[in-house]
Order: sequence, then structure tokens, then C-alpha cells
Amino acid sequence: MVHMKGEVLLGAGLRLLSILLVACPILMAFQANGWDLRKTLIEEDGVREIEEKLSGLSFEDMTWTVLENEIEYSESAHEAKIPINIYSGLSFQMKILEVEIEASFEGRRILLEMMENEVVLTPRENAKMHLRGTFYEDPRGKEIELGTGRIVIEKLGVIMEIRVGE
Amino acid sequence: MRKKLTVNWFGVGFGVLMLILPFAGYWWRAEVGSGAASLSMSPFNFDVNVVGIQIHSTLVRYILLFAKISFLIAGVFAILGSLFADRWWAGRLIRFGVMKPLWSVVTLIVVLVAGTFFVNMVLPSIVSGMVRDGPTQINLRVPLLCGTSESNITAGNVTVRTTISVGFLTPFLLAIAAAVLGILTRIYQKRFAKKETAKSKKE
Repeated sequence: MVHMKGEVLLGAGLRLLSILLVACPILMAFQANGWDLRKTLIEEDGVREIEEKLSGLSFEDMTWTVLENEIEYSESAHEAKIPINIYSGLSFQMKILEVEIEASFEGRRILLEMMENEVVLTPRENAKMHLRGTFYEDPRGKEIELGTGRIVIEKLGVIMEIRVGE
Repeated sequence: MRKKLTVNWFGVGFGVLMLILPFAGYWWRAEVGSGAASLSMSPFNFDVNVVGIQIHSTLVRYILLFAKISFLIAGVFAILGSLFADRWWAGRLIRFGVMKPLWSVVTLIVVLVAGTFFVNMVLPSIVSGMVRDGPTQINLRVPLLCGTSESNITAGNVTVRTTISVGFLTPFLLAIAAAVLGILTRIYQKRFAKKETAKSKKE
């Protein structure tokens, strides 16, 4: 008889404990956020921080300047080496892995390619890279028309390929 | 006459594992790129990290805290019930949490399978519908439960490529061990319940 009463009480107590362990966290979470569903489900500070960080990914914040005084040309190899200064206004570091641009020079189409394996862009700092292309005439002091191209950048193992001028 | 100590050793082992599991770490992890984003989870911990920033949820935090408490209580009950396996209250205490690790393992696998299916089959069409800026091609391939794959998304003149790696971590093996021990504990405890019934009938 005592056993039976004890079993019933124990059974009821354990069932109540199970219900409390499920209900309490939900009630406490809502109570901590003033019963606001959105705030309880997700803390918006983190989401806002991510949005701010990723919204900086705009290539209008990057400035590319050809250093015309430093262009090198090899008559024997018909090769020009064009230095480019890049200023990154972005808020995070990233790497440029590839640059390929189709250019037009004196009626000829020339492919300009990045010489370096990678160029690291540090926030709000200048970086330098060189484009190489085959020119049958010395391009220094003459107009080179840039056409379409592609830039490949890498950040945290994510590779982004951007086709420009299309 | 000295009373013979009746111990459900499976239950003792199970109880100890239940006390360790909440602190053993994540059971499964998914990573995009090399730290671009990651998702780590277990019934006691959940971490979402995007470009180094953690996303928190109050509701998830409290639910996981109480899941931890629930496992700890179940562990203590299992040890108590197993050390005095022939008492009338032992079976009840043991049954409180003996199936918890099994259900946790099964639930995790079901959630992962459903989530992978959703990401691979449903999410691309949702995102395609939302992006109106030029042609969009989404090739999302999240491995099922374990593995590495490449995914890419093309929108307009931008293509994003990355690897997605997913897999179970060592604490998941502990969870499986706890689930197996839980089942064995339950089966073995029935012997003591039968003995108890026989004893009460004699009296």
C-alpha cells in the first residue's frame, strides 16, 4: 500500500519535472525579452553587425589608379608591365587572386593579366599590383582602352569572381 | 544477514556518461569556406558564426540550458536507481532519462537530413525567386551528414564559389555509446523489476 502510494507520487513528480523542464525555458526566454517573439527568437545585434560587415562589400569603395610614370616596356619581349595602385576602402582584408582585362590598343585586342600570384588588400591602405600584356608598340604615353574583364577575390575560403565591363 | 548489493552496472555507466555528455562539446559541425561561416550543434550547445560574428537566440539558449539540466538530472537518477536496482523506486528513476540520448541522436539525424534536403532542394528556388537582378544560378550542394562539397551561386555578373564541409565530431560517439547503454540499462532493469514482482507475490 505504501509502495503503491509512493509509486504514484514518484510517477507524478517525475512527470511534473519533465513538463517543467520543457515549459520553463520557453517561458523564461519570452519573459527575458518582454514577450517579444522576434527578440526572443533571434538577437538582432549580431545580425546587424553581419549586415554592416558584408554591406561594405562594394567595389565602389575600391580605387584603381594606373601609375603611368612607372609603366615598363620591353621591346625584345613586346611586353608591357603596368603597375596599378589599389586603394581599399573596405572594412576587411581580402586577397585578389586573378585579374584579367581585355584592352584595346591601336586597333588590337590585348589581354592584360595580373603578374602576382595574389595581392592582399588591407583595409584603408594602398596595395600595388602589376598587369602584364603583349604590346607590339610601346604603350607609354598612349591611350589604352579597357574593356571587359574578370577579377577573382578570396576571403575566408570563399572565392568571388566578378565580371567587369559586361 | 547482509543485504546483497544489487547494482545495474549498465545503468551506472549510463549515468556517468549522462553527466559527461552536456560538457563534452558539439556533436556536428558545418563550415563554409575557411571560417566564413560555421554552424556547430548538439542538444546542449548551438553556435552560428558568420564572418566571425556569433548569432544568438535567447530561446535557443534557454532550451539548451534546460536540456543540459535534464540530462544531468537523468544521470543522477540513473546512478541512484542503478546502485539500488532492486528498490521499488529504482525503475521509475532510471526510466526518467534512459531513452533521452537515443531520442537526441535520432532527432539530430532527422533534423540534419531534413535541413540538408531543404537547403539543397528548396532554398535555391526561394533565393532565385528573390533575386531579380539578372540571371541567377544556384548550385548548392550540402553533403548529407558528413563530407565536403563545392557550391556556387551566380547572380548577374558575380559568381561565388566555396566549399562546404560537414561532419560529426567525437562527442557524437559518446552520445551513441550513451544511447546504447541506455537501452541495455532499460532491458537489464526489467530483471530487477521481475524479481521485485516475485518478491511482493511471496509476501
